[in-house]
Amino acid sequence: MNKLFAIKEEFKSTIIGFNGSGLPLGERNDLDKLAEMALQNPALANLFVSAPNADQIKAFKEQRLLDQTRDHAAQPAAEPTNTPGNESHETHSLDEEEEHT
Amino acid sequence: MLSIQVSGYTKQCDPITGGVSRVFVFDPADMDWTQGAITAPGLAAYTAVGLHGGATILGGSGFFEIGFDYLEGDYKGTPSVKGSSQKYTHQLTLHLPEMSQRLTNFIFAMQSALTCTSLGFVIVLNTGKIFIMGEKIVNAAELAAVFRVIMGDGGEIGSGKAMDDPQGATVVFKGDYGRPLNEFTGGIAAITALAGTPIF
Repeated sequence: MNKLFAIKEEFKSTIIGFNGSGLPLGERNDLDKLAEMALQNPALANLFVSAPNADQIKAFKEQRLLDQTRDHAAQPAAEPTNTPGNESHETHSLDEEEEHT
Repeated sequence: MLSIQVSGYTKQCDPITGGVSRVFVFDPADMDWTQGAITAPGLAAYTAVGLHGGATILGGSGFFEIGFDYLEGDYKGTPSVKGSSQKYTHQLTLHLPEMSQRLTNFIFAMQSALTCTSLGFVIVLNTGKIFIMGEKIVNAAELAAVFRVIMGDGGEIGSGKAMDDPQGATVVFKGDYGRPLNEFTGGIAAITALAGTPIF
């Protein structure tokens, strides 16, 4: 998890129930959500080495969205399928072509 | 808009199932509920829960599930208005099976706690939604208005007559407050992760 959301050593085994899970804080991968809630609850803010402010959390989420968008765009395009009307896209192996000649 | 902010109520296009699925009891002084920022008119739901102050599971804190008979749990919130004052009477009714020393001890413990302080309840509906009754600490601070829940009248301990009659106790927990219950959206795993060690 991003160093922005580092949890103090003494609280890594602490359980805070949120976002559908009750794993110890040291095992969570959604501490950005906890950091957002810490803006309302000082007890949660105390769990972080340095609780991020609203701007820092917003910048993290924006960067994460950009990274996800870039990663998605970098994925190879899916191969076209042999569906009716797409016969021009059909490819034949050399063996098949020899059979037809 | 000129005098108050009104809004409609959007019906969700999903099947809804009635009834109470699970109930957990807790000491309100032990649990700190995080309430999110208000983004719409009205209160925000609770989104996180953790042990408050020096409370520990080993020390006896946590959520304790109350095993009631199947389909024998019921929650009602009844509004009452007098002039400009209003309240909601929150009532949780459960039927607990089998008269036994365990049942006697459980009821006695609940009565004792309710005489000195108050109890909190996590109510899980069959829709999966979770509501909190009797909470005390929100965002690390005590609520200004005390949400006190006591063991109300209307309960009964009985043996039944016929062999297939219900046997055990109907227990009623009741409390008045100035609003309906708040929802907890952190999920059931967030509650069960803080399960206490049962003693009955």
